[in-house]
Amino acid sequence: MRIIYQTEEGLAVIVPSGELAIEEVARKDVPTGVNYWIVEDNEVPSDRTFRNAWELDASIGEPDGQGIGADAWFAEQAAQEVVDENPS
Amino acid sequence: MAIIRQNVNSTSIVDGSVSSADLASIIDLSSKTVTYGNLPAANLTGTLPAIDGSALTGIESLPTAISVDGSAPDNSLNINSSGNVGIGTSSPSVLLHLKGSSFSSAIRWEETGGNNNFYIGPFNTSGDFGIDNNSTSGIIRLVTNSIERMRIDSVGNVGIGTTSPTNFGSTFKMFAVEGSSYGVMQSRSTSGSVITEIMASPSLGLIGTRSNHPLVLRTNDTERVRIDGTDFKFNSGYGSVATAYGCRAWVNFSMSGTWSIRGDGNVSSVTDRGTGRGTVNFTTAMPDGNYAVTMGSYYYDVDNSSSQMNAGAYDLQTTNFDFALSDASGNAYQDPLYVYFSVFR
Repeated sequence: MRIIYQTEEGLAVIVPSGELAIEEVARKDVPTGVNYWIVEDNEVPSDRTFRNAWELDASIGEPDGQGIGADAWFAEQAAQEVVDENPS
Repeated sequence: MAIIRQNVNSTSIVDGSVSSADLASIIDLSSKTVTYGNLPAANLTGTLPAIDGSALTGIESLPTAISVDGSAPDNSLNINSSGNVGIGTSSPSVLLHLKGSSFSSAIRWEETGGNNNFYIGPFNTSGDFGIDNNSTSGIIRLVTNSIERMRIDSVGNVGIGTTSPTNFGSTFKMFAVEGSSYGVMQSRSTSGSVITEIMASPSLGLIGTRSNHPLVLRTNDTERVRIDGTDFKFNSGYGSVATAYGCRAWVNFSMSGTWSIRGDGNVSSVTDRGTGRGTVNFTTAMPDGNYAVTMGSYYYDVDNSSSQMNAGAYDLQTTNFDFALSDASGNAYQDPLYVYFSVFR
């Protein structure tokens, strides 16, 4: 699976490593407030000749979500760790 | 001189003294019944045991309900004026006071069937004390507020907060501490104020110090790892421990065709941002952006020969960094088949 989103420079394609669930990767690694779509690997062209001209197809449909950005995502994780490690 | 003028079970005693031997031969209190008259306590002397009481009345059931062996040592059972009961002592100082030289004087519960025996008391003369459950499969448990808090099972596993410490077999011994949310084993040094914990929380396991002190790992009584307030240090085999600077993230991936990650550590994803350009995103953030990135790449040229690459990482953030790869001349971005990054901090 891949995560794609539009930037001012063009189309960005995120390749998850598998360390996190793909939904968490999308929330973290897509910039804050930017729409993202989760697509199959084969929906991303393998021919990179015109890579910098890639754009989102208008038929792609509604986005799967919006990124919150890495800073907000790590803040969420830090807050959860505080709860786990400090029993009251 | 006591004079007895009574008929005691068909044996007549007339005026005169009665020797202990005579009395013992004619009055066997364990099997006879005094059926006539009173026997003043003052007259019970000699080898008869002293009995505090005004008369031997109403003792017909004594032989079957309570048995006293005539050869029992002095003060085998003693009840003093405070109501304290002594066993083996003439001066019981508490409600029930036992005194003996070994485990034989301990308390024992014996099941009628003879299968289970339970003891509590000293088991030698060295000051050691025991609570023994000698049944083959029974446990010992401790209860407070009507809830079992601790148990030792029949093979030696110990559980606190659990009635089922895991039994891995007779060659294993388990010490289990279980709580509904947290299980914690804590040790403290009152002189040094050090607090060390092994803890399980709902989402993680933790070994460490709760106080501001180092955590040390040893093997063969030699320090191998030390985690102090700021650094992780380890013994690399050349003597004492020293600060270790670990690789905090790495990734091996292909930028050829559809990008793919071959392997990684602490990398959640790589972002393809165009030919020869991308972003490496960390799973766990760096403490700051002052880390070092080492890079490598391998590129097949159009004629299938390898080519040197210019590669660089920039915009180093705590959560990610950007990179770009170009041909050796630096004139054009390229997508290498092999790209490697490692991050040190």
